[in-house]
Amino acid sequence: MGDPGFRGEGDAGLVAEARQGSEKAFRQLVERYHPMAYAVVRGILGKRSDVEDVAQEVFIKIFRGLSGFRGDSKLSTWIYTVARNEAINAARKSNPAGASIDDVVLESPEELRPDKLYHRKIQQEEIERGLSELDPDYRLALELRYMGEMSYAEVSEAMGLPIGTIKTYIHRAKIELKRVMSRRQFVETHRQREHP
Amino acid sequence: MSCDAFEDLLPLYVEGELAGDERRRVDEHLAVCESCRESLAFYRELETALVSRESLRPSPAQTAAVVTARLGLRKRWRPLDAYVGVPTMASAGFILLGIVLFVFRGAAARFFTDVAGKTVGRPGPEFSSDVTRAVEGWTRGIGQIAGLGNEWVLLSVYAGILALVLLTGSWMVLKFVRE
Repeated sequence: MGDPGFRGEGDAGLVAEARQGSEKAFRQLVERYHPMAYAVVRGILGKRSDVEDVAQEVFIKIFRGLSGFRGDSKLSTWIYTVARNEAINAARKSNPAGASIDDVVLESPEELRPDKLYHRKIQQEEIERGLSELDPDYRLALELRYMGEMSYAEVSEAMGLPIGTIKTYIHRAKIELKRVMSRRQFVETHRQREHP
Repeated sequence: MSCDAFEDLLPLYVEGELAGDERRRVDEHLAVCESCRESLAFYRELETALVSRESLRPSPAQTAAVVTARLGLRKRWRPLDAYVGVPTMASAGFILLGIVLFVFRGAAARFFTDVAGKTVGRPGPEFSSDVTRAVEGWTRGIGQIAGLGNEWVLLSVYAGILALVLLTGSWMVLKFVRE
């Protein structure tokens, strides 16, 4: 997980060089902040084929806006904001029909047997489905923490929320994931039983 | 504490965020509660799966290359002199000079004879023939190095040229890729 303070070191120098058209400096900036930008976009758009395209657009905008970046805010905060806005715009442009389990009639919670459901490896697909059901802020915090490989402090700084709030978000996200994944697993098991 | 309360602590337990009495209480509960042990197994699996999500992300270097190319920042193939160092250029120059002198050895001999004769002011047949002999001997020497009557020398020269080309080429490619 990311080391607090590491990402920001040397940003001013890189920004100054990139502003003058240095390919090397800008490439270093992209490499440094791509995990965060990608996680932000992924956290907002979910699993979509255009996540990387949007992440690239973020950095195109960052480069074009470098001349106007005065360093009043941290570079990470600026990139986070651009990534968030880009992802929200992309979400507005297309609204793909996501799979939902809301239309599924669920059995009573007592019938959910998590103790029998998790003797197996959790697959990324299950997590993707689970993430799609989370509160957007929880999902974003979780993506920044894991996909963005950021520390709690870095997530806190990027999202502009206290570190305690971020910890709560991630904690609740995991509990919610368990609940959602248990429900999905139950539904799938139930369907297989009825339609073998 | 109820099972639900203990279960709420399990994500923190897995992340190592619990300490002291709290962790000990969870340990004691886990020892007697199979349901919570199953939940713990879930959260451990979840943690592993979440950590491995990093691998789903394209590499930052790859994205950086694409973005800089889209912006037109990525360096294109530059003129040869920007990539080839002075020693390499000098070596190549000497080899080229040797080849040219060998190919045009007759003309070179006449040229040097003429120039030497005019410079010294004695373009007589004796002097001319001396210079001609000297220059011809010199060009013959280069010719021998280039392979006249000595296949091994010829092979060495060609191998040297090939090695030089390969080394220079590799260096240029590496430099281009790094930049």
